[in-house]
Amino acid sequence: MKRVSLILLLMALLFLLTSLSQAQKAKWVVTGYMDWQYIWSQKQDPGTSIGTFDSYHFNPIFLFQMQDNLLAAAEVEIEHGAEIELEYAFISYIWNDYVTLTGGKFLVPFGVFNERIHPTWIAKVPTRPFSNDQVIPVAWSEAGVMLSGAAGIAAPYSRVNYNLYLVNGLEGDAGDPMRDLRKEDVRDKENNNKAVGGRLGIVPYKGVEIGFSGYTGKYDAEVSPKLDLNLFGIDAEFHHQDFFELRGEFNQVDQAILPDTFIVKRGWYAQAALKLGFTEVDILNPVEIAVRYSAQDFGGKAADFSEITPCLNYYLASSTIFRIAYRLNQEKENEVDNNQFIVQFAQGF
Amino acid sequence: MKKFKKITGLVFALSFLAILVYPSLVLTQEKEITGENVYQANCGKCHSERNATERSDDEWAVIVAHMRVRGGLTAKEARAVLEYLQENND
Repeated sequence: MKRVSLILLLMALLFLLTSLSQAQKAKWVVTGYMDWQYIWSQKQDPGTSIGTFDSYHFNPIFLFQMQDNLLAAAEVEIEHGAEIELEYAFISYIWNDYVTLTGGKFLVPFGVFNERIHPTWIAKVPTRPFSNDQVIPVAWSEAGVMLSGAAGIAAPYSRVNYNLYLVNGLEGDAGDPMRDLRKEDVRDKENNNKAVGGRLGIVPYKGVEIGFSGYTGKYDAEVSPKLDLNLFGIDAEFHHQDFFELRGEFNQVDQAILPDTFIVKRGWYAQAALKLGFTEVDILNPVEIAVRYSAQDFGGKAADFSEITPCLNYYLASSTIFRIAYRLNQEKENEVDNNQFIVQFAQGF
Repeated sequence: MKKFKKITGLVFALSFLAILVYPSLVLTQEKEITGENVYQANCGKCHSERNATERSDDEWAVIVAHMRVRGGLTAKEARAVLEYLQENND
């Protein structure tokens, strides 16, 4: 039923595009990304492994501009060749130079990984860091309203930007993993407590951005009083021209399992990427080397993991990447063989 | 594995040191924004820079309006980027 609904939605979007093109008033663009990959994974039984091809994503994105200050966007996610979801669909009204009002289902701007860089053609390394997979979920969309904007400060290229949102919030049973708190249906049918959150980004000078994110709400519908869920995050990134990038995020979740008892989940990642074009050696122009370290600390050794993933990216075009990566997973307790070798072909269109 | 971790840590530490030194290099050089620099510093920091010729004037207008909101650009920066892309997409 859900799949039929989404197919109907796609057809409605295409119909809308056709109508718009005939009307010649609103402007629109179809963009998005797709990728396939081969993942070879060690299994815990010594000497065994599994390798599989995966048609990972086909995500068309529809961007509309009805007037200069009136926008709409929708992304349909078709994952693993079978699972269809509406990742987001929202309308934005640019009120003035400093305030934009958005309503609908949108990617939650908690840090930058979820909202800006999780698509495979943008991310420098395949797979997700622990901090943005197990600590906060990705992709994480919520239904609600949001104010956002930016203002220049002091020197050229310096600015602050902000997001402030009120959403239905996450929902699940006491102590559930964060990924499981995302609702398939974004409506609040049982839990009337809304969640509020925001992010403040500071760009002190060109090439650097530091952000602070917060989120607070209730997530449990069964227990009374309802259980708190408080999130805090810091993100930072540095870029030198178009060939060097360094970024990282720290996320912490304080999740109540009883009204006054919390479990704390922390995670972080750091990632560096260097395009070799600066060497001015022709054969190295399309090559980028990247490495990411990520870890999670859930307060007990059994659930504390880390990984290092070195990755080689080869750019066939600016938005077409062929990459090879090896993810070395480490468990703090009971080390097991679960490393992964990944070949991925990603295309932004 | 431990050696690899140490080298990775060293690379990150040196890189953060570079960030501390970097402002003195950039703040003294530029007095006014240009569309090209905004494009490189902001669009290029999330994804590889798309060639301006990939899109028409109208398409860039739609994309830049959306990316202004998502990327947290100021209105002035968004206007500069749009002008740069539309001037270079022939």
